[in-house]
Amino acid sequence: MIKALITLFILYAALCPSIRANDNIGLAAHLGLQYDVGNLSSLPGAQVSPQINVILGARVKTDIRFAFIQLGLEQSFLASEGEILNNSYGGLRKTSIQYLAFPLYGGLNFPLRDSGKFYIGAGGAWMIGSGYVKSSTAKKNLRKIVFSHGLTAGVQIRLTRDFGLYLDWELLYGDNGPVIDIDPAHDWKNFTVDYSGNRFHCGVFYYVK
Amino acid sequence: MSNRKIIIAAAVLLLLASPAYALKTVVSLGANLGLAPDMGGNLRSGFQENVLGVSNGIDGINRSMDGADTEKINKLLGACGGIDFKVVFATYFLFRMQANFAMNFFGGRGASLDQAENELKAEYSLWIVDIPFMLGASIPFGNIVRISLCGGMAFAYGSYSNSFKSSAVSGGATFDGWTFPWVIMLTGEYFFREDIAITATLGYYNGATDTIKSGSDYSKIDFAGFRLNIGFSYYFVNIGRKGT
Repeated sequence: MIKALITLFILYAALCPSIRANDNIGLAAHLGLQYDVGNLSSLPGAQVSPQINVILGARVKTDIRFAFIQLGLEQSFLASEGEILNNSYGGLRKTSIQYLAFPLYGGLNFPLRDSGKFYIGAGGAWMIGSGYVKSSTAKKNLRKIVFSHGLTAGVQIRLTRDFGLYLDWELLYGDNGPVIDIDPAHDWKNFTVDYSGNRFHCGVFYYVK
Repeated sequence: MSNRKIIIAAAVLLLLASPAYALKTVVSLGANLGLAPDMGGNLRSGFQENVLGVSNGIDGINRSMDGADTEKINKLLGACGGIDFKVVFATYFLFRMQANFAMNFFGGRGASLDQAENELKAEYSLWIVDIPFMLGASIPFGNIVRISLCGGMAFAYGSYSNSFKSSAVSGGATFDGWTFPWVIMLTGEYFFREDIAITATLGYYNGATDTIKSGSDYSKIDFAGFRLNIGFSYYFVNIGRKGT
């Protein structure tokens, strides 16, 4: 994990010397939302009460001409547990999935005259999953490292010389291996926690440069 | 084809083209490369459901047990690329046509367990060719940037293969099929010069074939999913910077 973080920072630091006079560096903080954490609603035949998480995050975003690179830190918090209401997917009953993530994205910026930027990018995140999954017979606490890949798109609006707002969408794909047995006829683990899904962020941006 | 038909076809083309030119039409050609995450959706099939007891394909195929030599099977991550043809007319309107190819390059391979808890080697692969036709809006922001949003239908052809082998069971099939998924694309273009732009496109496809039979197995090919492409566009008439 530490190696992964060091790699991220080295990558980021390596790009910073190419910053020119018209380029920007900004610090940002955001609040986000993820609906249907764990993707329970995609399980065949399942009637679910989807899990909802609130996300708190911060990031540093560097704009180099038309390109950008951003490195972040995010923690998700449980807003409501996920639950299989009709007991239709083996013994799986409830989920409470959270994570600490270190997302790294790169992509292209498209300036909207002088008032902001629209951006599209791709990247990934190292995630440390936590929380638990409950079956009809067991409860499994999660502590797994997951690497996910994904896409992002958003809009950043400059309000003053130093501050701006941003709204973005992030779609990550990642899961860990099987963590719990939800099939009473076998001894295997066969339910994989899925960290994939859409995240929406709304935040404040401070232009350091 | 007779001369008369050729003359009529040429006249129709000219008539169709003339209002477009009157509307200050600009034409571009481009190429792009990108990523197609989660290609093919869950890739479920009859064999997986009836023989392996997995009703949600690759999403549920992973099983592990103490003492068993399993290896996680990841969802398919694809690489995609293609060429595109765009017509911007009346400054703000867009017709867009593309020809794309996508193929998985990561995931879809590993070892799980069959119903008798024997080690099961599993493999999934998918390639897709699609040709979308779309209409939409293209909004200039100054002379440097254009943001476009367009939607339409695509002709999509796919070939999905899977194979499953353990000491107790063996199965596999290739499913080929086509359909017309709907497509929506959001694109940013940054003009380096009056006629050349670097582009980033976020696309979403939605649609699947009817159930396809292959031997005793059956499945659908699911084209649904996002794609992100980065590339360039060359405009035959200047549109950026000093253009329209």
